[in-house]
Amino acid sequence: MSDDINALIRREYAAGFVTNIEAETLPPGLSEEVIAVISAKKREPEWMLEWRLEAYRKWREMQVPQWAHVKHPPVDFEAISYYSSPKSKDDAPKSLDEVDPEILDTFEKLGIPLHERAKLAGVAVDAVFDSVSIGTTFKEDLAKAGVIFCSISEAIRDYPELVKKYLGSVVPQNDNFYAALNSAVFSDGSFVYIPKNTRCPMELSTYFRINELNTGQFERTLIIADEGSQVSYLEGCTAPMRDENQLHAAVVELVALGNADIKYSTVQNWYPGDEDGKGGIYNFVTKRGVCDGPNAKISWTQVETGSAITWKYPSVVLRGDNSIGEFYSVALTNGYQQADTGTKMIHLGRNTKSTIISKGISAGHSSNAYRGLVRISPRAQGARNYTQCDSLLIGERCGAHTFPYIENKNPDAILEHEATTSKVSDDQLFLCRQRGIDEEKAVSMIVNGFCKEVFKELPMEFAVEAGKLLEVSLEGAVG
Amino acid sequence: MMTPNELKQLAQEAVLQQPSLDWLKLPPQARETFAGLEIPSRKTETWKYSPLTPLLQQDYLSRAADVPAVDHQARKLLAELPAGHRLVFVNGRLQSSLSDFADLENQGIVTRFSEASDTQRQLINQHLGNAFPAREHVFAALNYSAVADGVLIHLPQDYQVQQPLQLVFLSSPTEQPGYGQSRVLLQAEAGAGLHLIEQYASLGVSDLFHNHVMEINLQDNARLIHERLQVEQENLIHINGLHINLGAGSHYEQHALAFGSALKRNDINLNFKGGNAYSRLNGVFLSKHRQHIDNHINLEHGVPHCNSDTLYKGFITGHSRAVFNGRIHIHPHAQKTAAHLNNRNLLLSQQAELDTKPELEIYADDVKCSHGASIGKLDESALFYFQSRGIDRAAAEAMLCLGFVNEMVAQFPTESVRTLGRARLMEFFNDVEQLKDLWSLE
Repeated sequence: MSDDINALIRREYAAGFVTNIEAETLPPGLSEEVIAVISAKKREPEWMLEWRLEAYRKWREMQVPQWAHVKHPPVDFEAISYYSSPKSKDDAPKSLDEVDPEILDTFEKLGIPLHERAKLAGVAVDAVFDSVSIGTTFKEDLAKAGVIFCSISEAIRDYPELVKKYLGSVVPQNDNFYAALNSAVFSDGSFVYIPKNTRCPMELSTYFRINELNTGQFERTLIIADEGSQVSYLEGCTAPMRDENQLHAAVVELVALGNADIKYSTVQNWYPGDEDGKGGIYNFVTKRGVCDGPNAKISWTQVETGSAITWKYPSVVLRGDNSIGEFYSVALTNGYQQADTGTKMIHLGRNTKSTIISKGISAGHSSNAYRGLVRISPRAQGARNYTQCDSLLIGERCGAHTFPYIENKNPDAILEHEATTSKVSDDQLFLCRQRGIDEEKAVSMIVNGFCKEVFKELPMEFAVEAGKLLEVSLEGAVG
Repeated sequence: MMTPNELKQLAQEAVLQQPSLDWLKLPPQARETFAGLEIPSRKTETWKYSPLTPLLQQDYLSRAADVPAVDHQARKLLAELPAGHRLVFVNGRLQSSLSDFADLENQGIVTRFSEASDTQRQLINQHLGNAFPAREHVFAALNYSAVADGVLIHLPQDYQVQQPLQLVFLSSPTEQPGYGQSRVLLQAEAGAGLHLIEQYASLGVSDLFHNHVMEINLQDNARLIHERLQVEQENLIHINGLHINLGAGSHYEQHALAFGSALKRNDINLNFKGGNAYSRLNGVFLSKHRQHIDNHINLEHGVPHCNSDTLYKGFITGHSRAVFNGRIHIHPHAQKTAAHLNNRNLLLSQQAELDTKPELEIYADDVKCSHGASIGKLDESALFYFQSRGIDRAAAEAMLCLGFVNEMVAQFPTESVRTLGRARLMEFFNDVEQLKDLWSLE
């Protein structure tokens, strides 16, 4: 990627805040005062500030985790500004003509609708397209169904009982170093509540909350599906996103009560750093869901192609009897990217089932690791797990690793784990080339086939884009 | 109970104060290596599932275990083994009176470190400690830092040892808890071949901490068939390190049967150093009662064109805990490697636990690697098949269990070792009370 893009991506993000706080940036560093200021700026109630401070005190006692298979210089947590105010639009591109042609080219390849491109490229035009009307119809439909879908800051003010009950119930404040940091300083994020026996009338997406897109580096998402409800939630998008923050530490909590069903899909394509591995986003995310009642189901699907470093383990705690956890993942690394990603399936209830399908693709100088845990507790009679981790290596300088932890304390459980690593098969390549398909196209076809099991779990429009995204991300990796 | 730090201090004050052979050139900082290492705890990745509690409960390290007169009992036990050259150790020390290797000794093939000639001393100094990084194996480092004696097995170029060579390690009752440290260095020059039978057995219940390290260097085209039986009594603490360097075109084949004990740990470390080398590791481990058994296998594929096949089976019941960790590490440029590892386990009791972690760490693209792990119970349809033919459930279960384990034992190349292994296996299974408990837990 050229320096231009680099510069462009590093330029300040211009989507604008919805809050009407005066523009201001706190000096770098973290202290109880800083947290108090953040909380005050967000007009949070007293209990929320207390909760944040408690998290901060726990965080101070914690060590940076070293176990992941990634290398990076230590992050200086005192050098980060923990409150980034609304950004000025002055230095953003004024129209699509000013945007780097390479980015526009990428949009073209991904098939992103014209009217969305400007928004994604960070063009500082107020009404890029009629987001108001989309937002309005959207909100009416949801309100009719009784679904709450708002920013977490609004939820803290408007639905304190729900937030108090569930915030931190899945990922406690001191769960891990980055979760504790997030709990102390989280900026914003989404809040979803689906009432009992309700099927959410549409797929929820952060994309629709277009005015609240810039949730900053410490995003916090909380989704609660009450008994018998169903929801599908989409996070991120396939287009390259501009982002000025190097460290991202998000927390996502899912609560599925009895018979509820949550499907959470992510496509992540953040800036991976330049060709020499300089820069790029550090994505240290804690995602966890709990099936807190019988027959609940949580399904994670992720396509990870961006970020310099990904450190992410969407997990499911299967507490309710007969509950189901699923994890479908495609992680692609190219250049100098490093990914350490996988899942945890904690089987507590009887007859709980989990499926893990993980596809890792490494190219260039990258390193791609699957790290998973399947734990069967003594109570989990009849538990069942199936795990399949396949890795594909493209080029001789990359690495692919598999670290599955399997802990079983129940003789009635059946667990299977399989992993394979190989390169793109010469036979398959030959077959494609013989039929006149050039090598790059052939590799991308084979990679797409390799990921098919995961793509079919994605919502339809995402699946199409995801396939193209892999193609774009793999450019230059072959030959 | 001691703390890990007290254990370390004890090791430094007692074990490390034992005189080493004066001519032995330990690599620089050998003693410091141990001093600089942490005694493993739950936070140590490679010891995550194996607490050292049994080792901390008694003072094993203050004194080396004594060696009582056990000739009569020992001879009875040795009679079960096939005839042939034999080195017998009791509580970690080589016993000439029970051993039979005079021929090999005269030919300079088997030598005690303490009786080594100048050239042999040179050889030992050159190779001892080359097959494993001491930093990663704290107990091997402890063993290493105080080498009072050891055995060198040196096979000259193209030399084929006709009869299997037996290494027998006996533990016998002692008055006080103590440690036994044994050490074997096997140097096989190019084209040499050997069949090794290694057996660990007990002459009664003893409070022994056996810390054993064996290093094997297979030069180009050398071949080794290695049969291992670890069928000691269950009170023992046994930490075993087997570290192997494989030269070009060399061939290593292992068949292992191991029972759990208070704490049993087997580290196997294979380093592929030359192309076209092959290793097959077959193993089966069983644990019952409150036993603990931990298998750590590490395959370092450092060069291209090498193959490895690994299959370990586990049988876990009672209140026991078993651990398996199998790591395949393909270094950059180790292209055209085919490495496969499989771990299959039968977990039969509500109180037992199995933790398995197969790992792949791959830095080369033109390779075929896979691993698999499964944990399950007895196959209901197989049980039904038996029952539909008039065999009651308990008998059917026993047969299936035996069949699961026997599949591995049946592959031992030497018939007498197979027979011995099966006999020990039946003793293990015939623990009727325990089996009753097991079946009633349905």
